[in-house]
Amino acid sequence: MELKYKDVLKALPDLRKNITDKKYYVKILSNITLTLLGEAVEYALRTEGINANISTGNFDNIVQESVNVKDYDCVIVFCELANLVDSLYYRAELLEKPEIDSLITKTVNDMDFIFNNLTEIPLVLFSAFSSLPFALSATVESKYEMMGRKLNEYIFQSTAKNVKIIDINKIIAALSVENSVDYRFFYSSRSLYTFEFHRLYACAIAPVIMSVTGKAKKVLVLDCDNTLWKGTVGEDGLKKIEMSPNTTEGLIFTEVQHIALSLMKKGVLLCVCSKNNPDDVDEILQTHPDMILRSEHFAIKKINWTDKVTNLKEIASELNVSAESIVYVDDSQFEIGLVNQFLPEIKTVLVPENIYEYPQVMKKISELFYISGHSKEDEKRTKLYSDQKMRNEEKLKYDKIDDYLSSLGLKLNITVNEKTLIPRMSQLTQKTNQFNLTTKRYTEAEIEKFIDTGYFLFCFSASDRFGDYGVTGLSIISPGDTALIDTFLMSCRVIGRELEFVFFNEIVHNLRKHNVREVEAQYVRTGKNEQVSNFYDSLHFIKTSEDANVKNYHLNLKVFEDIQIDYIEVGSDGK
Amino acid sequence: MENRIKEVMAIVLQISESEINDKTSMKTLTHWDSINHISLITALEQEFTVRFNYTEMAAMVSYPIIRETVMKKLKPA
Repeated sequence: MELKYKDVLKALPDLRKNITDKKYYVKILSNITLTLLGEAVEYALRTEGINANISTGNFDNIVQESVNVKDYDCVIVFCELANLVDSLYYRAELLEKPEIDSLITKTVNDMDFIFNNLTEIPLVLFSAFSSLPFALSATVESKYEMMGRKLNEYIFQSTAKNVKIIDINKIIAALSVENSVDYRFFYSSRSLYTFEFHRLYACAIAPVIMSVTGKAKKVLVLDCDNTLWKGTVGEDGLKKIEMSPNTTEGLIFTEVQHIALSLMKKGVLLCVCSKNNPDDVDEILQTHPDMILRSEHFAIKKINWTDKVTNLKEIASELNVSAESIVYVDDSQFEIGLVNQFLPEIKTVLVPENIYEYPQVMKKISELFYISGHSKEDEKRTKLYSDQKMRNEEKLKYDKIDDYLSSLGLKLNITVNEKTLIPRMSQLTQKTNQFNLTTKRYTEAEIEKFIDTGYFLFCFSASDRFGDYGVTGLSIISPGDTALIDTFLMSCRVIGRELEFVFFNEIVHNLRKHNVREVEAQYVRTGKNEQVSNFYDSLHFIKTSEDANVKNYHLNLKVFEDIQIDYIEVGSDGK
Repeated sequence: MENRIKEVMAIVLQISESEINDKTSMKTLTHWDSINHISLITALEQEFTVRFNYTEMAAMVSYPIIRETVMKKLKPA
């Protein structure tokens, strides 16, 4: 047993004390007794630094309570098939077809009603139906199983942007039915699932919540020898290392490389960090016929004899990400230990001794990179970062930063209320920590609602002669005579180019056209956004009040004069 | 063993170990309801790597009975 229920209970009081982040409120609605779920979820979230507060609704009151659930960050709906109507798990077999059909229709209507009531909730986690605890035979589908299947067909095609379906069949499959279900408690108290089941359920949903709270991992750093391939290139030579699908062990490394590449395609940044001769590794990355991963897939390559801690710190700083967003994979217990000691924020993964377990380990860590509403921007991101490296190298040649910036040929394209950008806008609010004035996280559904209720949602995409940065700036502004800047943020990869000033100029021009006369704005301190604490001062806003964590500002648009920056070209067309 | 039982009961039922004595039962502790009973049985089973049957589970409503039941389970047959 990996982790006992007692250990969870023991750890919670300290975990509750130590996290001071903004509270994250979760409500659990269910039609069975889920005694252990609240604690399992709270534990899983708090160990990831999320200040989770969990409350549980009344037993079998999902529909009724969904009407009144408000102000929660997340609602977990656990609608158990066995108790859809009382004792369905044995009654179903005696039901006639019309009765079954009407029960399915009723349940579908209930779900629609529930989802509709919960549209204001940023994240709704809905458990798929599982008939496995009461399944009969592998060759015959019972009426009960058929109902579960039909209801699942319906919910898996649900398109509500704030709803994620949790496929609990996969959790039951991983544990076995026997270890997932405790019939004793079911018959005594309508509690169906074991602690282990609840623990795995919590582990499954944690990455989704980490993603919407801006805590998902962003960077995967891999060692080379015995991590990307079998063997040590410096000793065995280029010909002897293995990652071929035609050898028993090579096959495993091929699979691992595929997993890493598919993560990269989903927007995860890949890096290598290896003590090796750079020429050897470069040659493998460029010419080895069995390699799946190539040079261009890596945002940064640290192939040198410097220690891993220094290299990882450099990777974090060059990519402009915090150490917390990095996962590091290495086959050396020594290197992993060193990183754990000196950079404990980094999540480390040791290549398992039983090498056949390696792909499973990689699949498991893949979940940490969960990205909600996967957007096209992600695929481009690695290229963007490698372009940025070229830029950094060029930076050295200029004495004055202005000279450098004007040499870049920066261009800004601004869009207003562009609906195709909703996934990207939501993602920007969830991922951006540093250049973010208010750090409000929004789901796609919430973004859409802003657009529908007359807010101005300005986005910019930026480019220069080295390449395209993609959509990297967002501002959300309320409508009205006096507008409020709800959100003003910029992705860390375009910081330091004065784009924010030109963006703001353009926003002002646009607001004036809509007869907005004054603007109010706020800076909310988070511990990560210190660099923008005086941003509004630099735009000549007037500070109206200030306390330790919040500064309030005001600006009269009549007297605002454009910030003069002549080296950034502004467009508003498609490109 | 008694201390381990008390430790588990204290954590699950949110009381201090010193409060637990032979009078401690579902009747005397308001927090020990049928729902928390599931948590308690789960924690005890994990602690001692045992499994209680339906009758045992239903009977374990006080500290002395729990002690007795766990002891019986752990005694080599």
